[in-house]
Amino acid sequence: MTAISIRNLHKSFPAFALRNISFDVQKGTVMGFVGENGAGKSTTIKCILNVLKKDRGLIEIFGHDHVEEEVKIKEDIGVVYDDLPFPEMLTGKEIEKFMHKLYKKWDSPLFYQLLNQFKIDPSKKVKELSRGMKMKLSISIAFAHHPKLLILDEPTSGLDPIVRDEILDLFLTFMQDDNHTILFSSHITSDLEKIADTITFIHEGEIVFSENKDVLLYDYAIWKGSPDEMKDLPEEAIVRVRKGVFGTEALVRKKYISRIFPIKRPTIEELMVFFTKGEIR
Amino acid sequence: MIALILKDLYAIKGQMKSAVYLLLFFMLLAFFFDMGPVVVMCAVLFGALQVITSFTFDEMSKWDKYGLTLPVSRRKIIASKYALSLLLTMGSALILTPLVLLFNLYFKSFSANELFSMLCVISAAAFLMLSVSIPVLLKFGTQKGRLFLFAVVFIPVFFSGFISEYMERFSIYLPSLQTIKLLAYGAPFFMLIPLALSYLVSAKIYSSKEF
Repeated sequence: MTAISIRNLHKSFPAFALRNISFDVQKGTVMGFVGENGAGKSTTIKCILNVLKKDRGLIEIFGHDHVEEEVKIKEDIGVVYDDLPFPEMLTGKEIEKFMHKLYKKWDSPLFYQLLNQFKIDPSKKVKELSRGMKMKLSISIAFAHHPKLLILDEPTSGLDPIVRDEILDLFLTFMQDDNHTILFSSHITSDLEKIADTITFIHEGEIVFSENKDVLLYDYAIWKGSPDEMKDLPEEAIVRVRKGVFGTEALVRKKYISRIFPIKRPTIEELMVFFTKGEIR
Repeated sequence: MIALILKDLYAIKGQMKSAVYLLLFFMLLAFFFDMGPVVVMCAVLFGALQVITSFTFDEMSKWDKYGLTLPVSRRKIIASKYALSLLLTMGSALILTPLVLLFNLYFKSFSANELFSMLCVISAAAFLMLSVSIPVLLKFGTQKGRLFLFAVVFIPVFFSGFISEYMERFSIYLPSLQTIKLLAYGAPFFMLIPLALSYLVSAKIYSSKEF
């Protein structure tokens, strides 16, 4: 069953457009949504949440139209942006006081337990918190109403590796429940390698691929050599080519090349770089 | 909706504190210079201005992109701003009026009727100001919206001098004091109509607004 289903989503701005975006996020999985800055990750997420109005296309969450049943759907969604968009004068305690009136399933003890776990003083104002603390508060808010779906828009950007690891552990704990789903947008691909089941790559407003992470990492490989040596590679195996100071690199499809070629497993970051900067042969 | 009003009240509480100190200062002035009705007028206008402050805080913190992920409709988000504006204008008047009346027991410089009619006129003015400013703030943002608000408040004041001059020149006379008083008492209720229309316009603007 799909938690999020997007078909032919279009959204245009004067200088940028999302074109023909289609992908599914299966229930019980973590989808890593990757792409360079300005590729369209946040725009897609905002369209899903109806914060931006789509031009056309179909978006369904838990099988319901995201606009027609917006209020009902949003009871089960927790959102974490790359900042904490609450007025700076508010304290954690005050945020809890009004948020618990907004969600039917708001769990005050859980909220305070998370604040305690993160060592956040509930009486501190938002403006007095460090960036890491703000993100932890944002995650506590997102978790406190027991969402089924977490939509995370760059939640770990600008955080140090220790805080990032702590936060990723929380998401992994959240995924212990089979009914839970995460759409995790990030350009920190190492985070996604840790927790994502599928990877959707967006580039210049278009989806390049949306694939199971393991399939992706096993299907593709990186070959390195000289331009002359590259002539030996079968044409159909070459997906993208990059020429550098130290030779030529090719992103190849493993199934088309013999084992005699020296290849290595790519990282998501390398896949991203090949698909955005590599030449098509 | 209560949750959103509560959020705004928490967000502007710092501003409210400053407003309370300022009003205490005005209270002192009122006590020593016998300006009770002016204090109530200021309180009502302060209340109305806090609604605009809440828009500024929302914009600064990019609240709307989060507010729209909550299980609340866009209409309710706007309705909460209008409810907040009624609460703050009426609340300020209700808190300050008894205090000013208490002062007046000592000074006996104005009647309760006078204060009440003045209160009605200023509440009506506050409603009118909010009716215009809320849709403008939503459409153009708080930076441009403030300029517009400045124009909304000062252009009528500026032209009032001309109007009275022209009224005399063209032999237009004001209605009787009795009629003016009646109009004053009814003014806040009349102004609820533009406020309701303003809500519909704001809801329409916000329904297609993107963050």
